[in-house]
Amino acid sequence: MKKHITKFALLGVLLISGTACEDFLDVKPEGVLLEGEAIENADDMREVLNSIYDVTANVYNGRMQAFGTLLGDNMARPRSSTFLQEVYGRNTNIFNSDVSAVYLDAYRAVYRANWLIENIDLVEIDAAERQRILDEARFLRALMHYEMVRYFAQPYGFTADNSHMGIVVKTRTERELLPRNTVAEVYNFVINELKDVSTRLPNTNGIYATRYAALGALADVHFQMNSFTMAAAYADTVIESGNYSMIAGFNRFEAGTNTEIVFGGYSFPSLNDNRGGSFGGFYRWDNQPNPNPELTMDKSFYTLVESGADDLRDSVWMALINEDAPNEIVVNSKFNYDFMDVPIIHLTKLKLIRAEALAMSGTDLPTAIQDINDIRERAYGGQTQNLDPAAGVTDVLTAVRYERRVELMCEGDRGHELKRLGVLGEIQTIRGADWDCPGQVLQFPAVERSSVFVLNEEGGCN
Amino acid sequence: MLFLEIPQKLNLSSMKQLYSALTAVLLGIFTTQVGAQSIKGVVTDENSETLPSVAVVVEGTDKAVTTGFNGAYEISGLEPGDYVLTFETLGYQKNESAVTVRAGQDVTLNVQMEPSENELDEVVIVGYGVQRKREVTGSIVSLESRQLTDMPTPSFETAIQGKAPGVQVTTGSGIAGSGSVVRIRGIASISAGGDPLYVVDGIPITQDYFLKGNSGAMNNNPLASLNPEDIESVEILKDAAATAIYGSRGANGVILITTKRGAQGRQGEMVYEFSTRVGVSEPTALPNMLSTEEYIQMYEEAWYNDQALYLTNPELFSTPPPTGEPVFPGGLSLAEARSVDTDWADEMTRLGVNQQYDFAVGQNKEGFNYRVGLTYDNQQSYLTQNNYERLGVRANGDINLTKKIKLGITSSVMQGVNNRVDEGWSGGLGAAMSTALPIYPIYNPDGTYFSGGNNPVRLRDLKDWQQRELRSINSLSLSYDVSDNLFLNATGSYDFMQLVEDIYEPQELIGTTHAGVARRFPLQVRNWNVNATATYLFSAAEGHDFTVLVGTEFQERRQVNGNYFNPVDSSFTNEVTDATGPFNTNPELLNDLELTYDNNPGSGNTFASFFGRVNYSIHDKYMIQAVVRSDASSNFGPQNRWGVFPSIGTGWIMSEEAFLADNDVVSFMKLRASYGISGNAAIPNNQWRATYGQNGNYFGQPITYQLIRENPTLKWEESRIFDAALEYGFLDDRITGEIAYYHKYTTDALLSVSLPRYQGFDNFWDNLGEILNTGVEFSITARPVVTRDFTWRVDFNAAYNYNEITSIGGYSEDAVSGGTNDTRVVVGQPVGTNFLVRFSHVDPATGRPVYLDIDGAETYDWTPDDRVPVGKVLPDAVGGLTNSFTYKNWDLSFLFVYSFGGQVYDSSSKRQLGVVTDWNMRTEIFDRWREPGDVAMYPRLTRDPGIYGSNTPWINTDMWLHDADYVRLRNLTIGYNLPKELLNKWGIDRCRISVIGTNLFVLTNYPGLDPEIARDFENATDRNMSVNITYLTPPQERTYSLALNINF
Repeated sequence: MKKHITKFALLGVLLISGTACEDFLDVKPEGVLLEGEAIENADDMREVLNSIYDVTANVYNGRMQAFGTLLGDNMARPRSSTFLQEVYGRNTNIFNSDVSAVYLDAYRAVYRANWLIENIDLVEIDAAERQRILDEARFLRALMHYEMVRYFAQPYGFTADNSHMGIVVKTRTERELLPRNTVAEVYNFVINELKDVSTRLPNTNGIYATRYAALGALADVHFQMNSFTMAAAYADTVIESGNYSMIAGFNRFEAGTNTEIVFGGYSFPSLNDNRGGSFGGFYRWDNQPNPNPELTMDKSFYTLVESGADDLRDSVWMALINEDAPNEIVVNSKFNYDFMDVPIIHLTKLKLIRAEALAMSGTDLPTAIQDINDIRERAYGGQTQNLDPAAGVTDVLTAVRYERRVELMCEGDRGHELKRLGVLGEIQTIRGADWDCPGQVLQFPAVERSSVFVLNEEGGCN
Repeated sequence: MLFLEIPQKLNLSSMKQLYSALTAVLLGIFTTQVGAQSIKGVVTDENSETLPSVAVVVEGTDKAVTTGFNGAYEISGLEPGDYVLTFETLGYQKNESAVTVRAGQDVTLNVQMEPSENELDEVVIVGYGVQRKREVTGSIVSLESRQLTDMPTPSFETAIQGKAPGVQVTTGSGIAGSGSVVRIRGIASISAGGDPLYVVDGIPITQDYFLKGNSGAMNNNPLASLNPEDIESVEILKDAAATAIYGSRGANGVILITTKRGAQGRQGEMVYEFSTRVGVSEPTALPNMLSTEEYIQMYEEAWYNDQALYLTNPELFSTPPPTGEPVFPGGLSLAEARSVDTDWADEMTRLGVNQQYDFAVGQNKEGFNYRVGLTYDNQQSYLTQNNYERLGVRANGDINLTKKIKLGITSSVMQGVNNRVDEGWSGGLGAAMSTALPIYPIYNPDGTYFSGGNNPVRLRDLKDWQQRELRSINSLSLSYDVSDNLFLNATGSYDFMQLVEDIYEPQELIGTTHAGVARRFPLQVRNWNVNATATYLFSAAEGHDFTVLVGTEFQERRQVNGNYFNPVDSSFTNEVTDATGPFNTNPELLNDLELTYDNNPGSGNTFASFFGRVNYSIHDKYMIQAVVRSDASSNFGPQNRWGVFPSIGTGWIMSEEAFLADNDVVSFMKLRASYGISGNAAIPNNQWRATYGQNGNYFGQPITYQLIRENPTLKWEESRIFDAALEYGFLDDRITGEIAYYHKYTTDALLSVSLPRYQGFDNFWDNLGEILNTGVEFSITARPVVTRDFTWRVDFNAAYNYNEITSIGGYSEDAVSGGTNDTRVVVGQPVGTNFLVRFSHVDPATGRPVYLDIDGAETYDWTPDDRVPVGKVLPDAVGGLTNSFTYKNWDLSFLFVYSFGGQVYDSSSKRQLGVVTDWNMRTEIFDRWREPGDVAMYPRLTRDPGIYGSNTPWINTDMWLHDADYVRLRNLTIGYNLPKELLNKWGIDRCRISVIGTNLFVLTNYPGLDPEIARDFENATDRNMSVNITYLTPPQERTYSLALNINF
């Protein structure tokens, strides 16, 4: 018996000691990098930052702007995409995967920014550059929050204290179930972040975020809030920086040519990398024998522009095809390029903001009129339609709102613009439905719902 | 488990005797003892055939021998006196014979053994060993070879259906080589694999259903290459006491497959077995699609309905209906449409012919045994051009290297060739049920294939698609009997699987300038396993017997994908353009290419385990078993890599107690109870740690981003399982059976959750779920008539299971979804809940469908917000009833299987019976609304989803949800055994001829094709949640076969 127990013990020791267990159990994944391999030095952190720009540019490649455009009143019903038809019909539901994909990409950018902020100290990096990388990440994170709150919540001002539900403000990578923040909280977050980074970001930074990108974003945010003094002031700083100049032509989206861009998505033709792909996919018609693009303009919008004396934009940016035939369509030419740079914050837009904000606050009408005329001289091919330098507030507002609608056609602005005007009480309806009917707000993806996250109301825009 | 002789928990005294007898015999080979007195004789069975390996023990002495292959034994060196000899062997009643030996006398004592009437004395495989069934404290169902080969099945596991209580088998589709979905006691997993662990001869085999994803509406079936004829027995381990020894991976049950060894029958001689089966296969049902005239009628009605309604209610339409005469799909005019009437279902199906041949030779000799089997099986499905061919060889053998050391070898090589066709959503009969319209011709007038609409004949004929699987499962085992109560065993196994998929598409199909594209996708799975065990038997006191097992096991699995290096441009590829045929028939296409498995990233995982088991038997009446297994898996991070899975099982053989010992009615009664923890780690590899990718760039600069969000605390899914059962035998075991109750509570269920998007990641693996499975099982075997000429045996089993998800960590129902099948995880509902908008009725006034919103109010609008749990794919009760009769040389048996309480979601019918599109429709659509006042089953015909209150025509509602209750005649067999006298003349041991019919009929109210559906799945979650969802899934096959079995 004793002998056997000894044998037994011996065997047990043999079995257990003969193994280098932890090595055996550490099976490395192949074809991917582990943290230690991927994140070794400052260059790697720059690559992580670049990946935030990458995914941000994907958000802005035309997909997100299509929603903002379709929620407005310039467009015809999308031709075949059910998901886009839902956006246009203002009845998106939790299964709209086009909407859900953009929303996810926006939060991918947020996640990557949060990851970078939490992990930047994994590598040795020069203090100044470290700060700049963090500021750029925070800029992109704030920008994504701003875009999403505009699409997935009723606009700023919908309730007096903006206590209505916004989106989740996500500032850490922690996996957690979160309730939606209020719209006030989201805007506060966005403004505070942009203001903070704007104090440190460099004035020039290649194609990447600068101080003026942050200030320009602040102008846009405040304008959306109908906070005109601030909007005008921020826009003014950027415009007067002298870093950006008006382009003479209508090729705002052509890659490598637009000197107005304060911040945008950039294509890289030599790598066949086009960051305006969805603009091209939705609108482009010049390379088709029988053009029938997914997104076309509403005829009445075309007529409106066409009826404007000397306005070049009906013919340069639009075309009426198959006139009076059953298959008559109005196509848009803004995106007829193989490679596009996508202006997100740009001089024309900032001038439109400044002009309208100044008019609304009634402080500096001459500057407002000059801004409008800068745009009109290009749009009308001369000074024939310039505003009278003595024009009053009403005329300035009428002019700037028309110019905004036409200049920024298909850039994703119109839906937000109408809601902003709805808050102001300037309009009551959008395409026949109350401007604040529930369906004007996009529905969240199904997976957002949880014990703490409440989805948007749907429909109600018929 | 290679040697049945290796004891785990056989009755200790008999085991000791067996071993000492064996030792004595072995010693006897080398030494000749000359004694004064001896006893010798021959031991035979009930048919007077000699019995080898019977332990013969002279009570009260240390004399013990075993009979040789000729049944003979001899015990010498005895003193004169009175002796009692006991004869024991597995499967036979213990025989005690008294004998008196006088001085100088050699006594002859021939003994005829009676077979054990009590099945409870049979031996079952329990994982790293064997036990007598009576002493088992866990829940194990044991099936014999003949129960697995009694009918033709596409895959061996299909034959389990209805034969094991608590085991739900959902038979695969009619595609050749289809696998079934096996669920043991419900399902305890959501995203981790929910299939039981399959262990073949001790090696947990590669059982990945998603090696080839979902292609052509079929998942690769990793069990297809196992030959049922090779299988000696299958044991299904259901509770913790049984599965704990596979603790880490036993939460959804374990299926142990033991292959045949040695020879059946005559000891020492070469024994030959030959069996063949030929048969035909046809679908159990064919779809009732519309003919051209019917289709035109429906299409025109929808066309004009819309035009009329648009005049009064334009607001209902998502687009204005076109004006004028109907234009049919494919742009066909009425006249063109009417000129053709193709019966696509007929074009896609045929009478399949199946044939199977098995030949084996085996021998049991003193010192060695072997069995070599050859098999060829060609299974044509009823789907034209689809067949699965299997050719293989298996060689198993054992040899005694010395008297104490034995070597065992198990080796099989199988080549499976699957000639694939596109099915389901991908083509074939699925196309016939969908977009292959009767108005489309097969050929154009000039003889070329019609391609103006879906033409599945064109796809089938032009595309060449073959998948070849080379599977080899091997093991080498060394056992060392250190002494008569200490036994060591070491086994190394290698399970190799190579899948090569060849696809060829000619120019006409791909529509490019290339002559054609040949593609090949090779992949290999290499699965290593080594284990070592030590078994020690001892007795603490009289009647207090212990068996102790300790062991360790290591497993490594690696999957690699191959491609070809092209030296011309130093690129890697899987295809050759401008090919004139597939690689398998044009090997010269590969001449300049070099196959490599090193270029693509592979994947793999490892397991390391230590385990121990103690069995304690008190007076053969009370049994206690304690098992603990500690497992580590590379699928989890260092924090939670190791899991510990203990179990305790107890048994009380009440019939051994005085109060039942002499009972005339109760012949056996045993109560058993067990409790323990089982685990599951069947998730994709390396989900616990962060990984990073660098694909792409922005503005010409590289990017780095996280691919997997780390979850360092990811850990084993655990099920706590309580099991209690009463095993009974009445009237001399003429009636036996079991009643069992179980309660299985799973915590930390592994979920691949779609995270809220604000998380910035799509999917994440986490231990989030809790699942309850509880149920009762009942089985009974009765032999109402047992006479010389006529016997009748009834086997009946029923299992009821209740399944409920009790937590998903606060996430929404949509966080985990069953593919495209609209099954969801809903707290308070079972795994695989149909989560759908409720359809109420067709409004008699307008003909529009009326739904119920989430509050139950009627509405015309369909929105996913109104989805509620309306059904479940898991049945409440499943089981089977087998009746077997023998009359003289004839036998008849039939098996009914049944399933109650589950639902089928007929996902394709939303297109076949809903909005009129480019899908063909089913004849049920005739019961549609046509004018105000009509009370109809289906709404008004329309081509606009707006009429259905939706943006899209493809909406899921419970209109397509049906009860899946069924009773099916699974198998009917009539057999005839040729008379022994005749066979003896021919030198044949056994010759049986039988006719077999499967799936002869099914009783069900389900209006679709087949109420039992295992469709193609997207991933493990889908497979767990979406059984019994059909989407153009081909129905099962009905077969008629003729079989011949000869042993000689």
